[in-house]
Amino acid sequence: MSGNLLEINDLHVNAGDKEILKGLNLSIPFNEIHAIMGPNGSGKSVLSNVLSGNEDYKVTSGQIIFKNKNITELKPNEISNLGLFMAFQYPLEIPGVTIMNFLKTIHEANRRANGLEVLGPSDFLKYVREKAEILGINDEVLKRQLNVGFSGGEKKRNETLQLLVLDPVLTILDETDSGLDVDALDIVSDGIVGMKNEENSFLVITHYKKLLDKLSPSKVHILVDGRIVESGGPDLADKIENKGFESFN
Amino acid sequence: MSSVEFHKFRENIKNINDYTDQKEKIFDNFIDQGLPNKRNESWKYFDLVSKSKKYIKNDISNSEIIVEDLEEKNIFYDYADNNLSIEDYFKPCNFFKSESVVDLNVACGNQIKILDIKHTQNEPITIKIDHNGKNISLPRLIINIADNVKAKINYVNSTTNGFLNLLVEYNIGNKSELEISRINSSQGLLVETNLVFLLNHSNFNMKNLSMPIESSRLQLFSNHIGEKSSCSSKTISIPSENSNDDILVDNIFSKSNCESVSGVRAILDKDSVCSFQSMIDIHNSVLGSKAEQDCKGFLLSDKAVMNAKPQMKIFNDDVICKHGATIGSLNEEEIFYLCARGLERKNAINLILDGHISSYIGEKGFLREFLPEEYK
Repeated sequence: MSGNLLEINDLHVNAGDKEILKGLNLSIPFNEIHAIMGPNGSGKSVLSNVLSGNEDYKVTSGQIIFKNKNITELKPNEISNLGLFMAFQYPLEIPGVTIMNFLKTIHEANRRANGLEVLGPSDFLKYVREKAEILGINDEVLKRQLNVGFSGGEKKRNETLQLLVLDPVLTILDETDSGLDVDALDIVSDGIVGMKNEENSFLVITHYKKLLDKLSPSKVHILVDGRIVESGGPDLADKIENKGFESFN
Repeated sequence: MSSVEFHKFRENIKNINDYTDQKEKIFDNFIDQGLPNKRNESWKYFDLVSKSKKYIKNDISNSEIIVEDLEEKNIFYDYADNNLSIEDYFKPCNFFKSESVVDLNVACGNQIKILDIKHTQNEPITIKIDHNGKNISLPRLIINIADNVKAKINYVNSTTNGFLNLLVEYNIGNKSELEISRINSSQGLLVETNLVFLLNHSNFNMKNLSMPIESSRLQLFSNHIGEKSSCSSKTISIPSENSNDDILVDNIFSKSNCESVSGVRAILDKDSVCSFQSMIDIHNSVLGSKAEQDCKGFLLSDKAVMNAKPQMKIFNDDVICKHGATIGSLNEEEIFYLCARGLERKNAINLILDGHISSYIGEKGFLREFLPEEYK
């Protein structure tokens, strides 16, 4: 695949009356991993929410082009079914809904939205087990209620399972590494690296270099006060690690 | 409502010839009290007096009570075939002292059915109750579970008209277990009083799907008269538009090392109302009790109402007790989370509500057949 999978042009976004994103530009081609780093309050999570269609935030100008389609005004489910997946920083608990039932429901919704045949129960079970095995998730966990009583690490692992099951073309990892211990970080990053191919890309939002060391991003972007203020190679993450964000303010 | 309107029911006392004097006294008690209303009930239940008024004009009639899937050694029969002792006959009134709907039933009811479950049966027994008339019906059902017996009952209350004032008595034997899956889809006015007596190591477990179309009240009184007995009552309440669903659960701990769980999960749309009142009553000398009561209500419209009143009377320190109530609209963050996985808003809401339901009645089973299509 050639060209950009995602193009964000001069994006301005408000939360209530306050402008959070102030003319953000970003391009992500196919088959690349990009990272965004930035201080607290710079707008990283707002960006991921806006890309996912969260109506709590208002796009006042600019546009988001995904797969050559303007998704700026699309609903969250429409964006998701086009193949954009956000791994949440704080995954929500949904009592009473088992992980397996949830995965089946979202997988079916995705297949139907894309005109594909829904997998039968035994094929789907086999498909989910394959994905779960990559992350070391067993059948007992699949019977648990979605994120209910999960530790932070378990929730992130479960987010990664959803990612593997939906197999999107663009994945946004919103601080997926926070709350993960060393072993869990290895499992999740290995899962992501295993997914990467010529037809997809990743946008990793993080505070820490550790995940980037594992994912080897093509580009690192520095987001400060609602704008990308610098973009560069992985060495930019080293610079942040050593000197912090002070020099970008 | 004037008690004068009930005087004509005194005639019914003579229909069953036994214990006439005692029944007269209980009827007098009832006449003194009348049916519960907002004034003397002092809580947020619907007003039974005004709702029942149109049904009191006519005579008392019988309901249809059908028992199916009963294995050979377990029996279902009329009171007339095997009379109750005076103690058993008035057991509910002696227990309550003053509960007017029970007094009315015991004094004037002439339809008493008894189900004796003497042997464990693997398949569920089905009980169907229907009342179809423009009048009041006062059936009484006594369910006796012998010692060391396990049984399941699928119980369908589908009153189609009139006012059904039903009294159900459960006597659970030592080391016995009874599991009830109850569906209430009554279109008439329903007041159902369940009185549960639990002997040593016995277990009563009720999953209740309550979807009244008119107004309905379930009163469940569990009496832990044996040690290490347990009672669980979990209700999914989905009343129809302009309908009230009142749930009252009272867990009375008279013996040590007993457990109870009572709760309601309500989905309330339009101007429907659910009221949940629960009591944990632990007596002075009773040790090692565990009790939980909680409710969670989703209000899907500005006009929907949920009332919750968890209460505890605990006269002993050796108790573990939890209570809680959560009432509110749907969490928009949860909806967004599900929509961001590809679900349309409507389907995301239904999945959240389905989870709410499944947490009480599971993802499979008898009760799910009766759920509205959007939650199946």
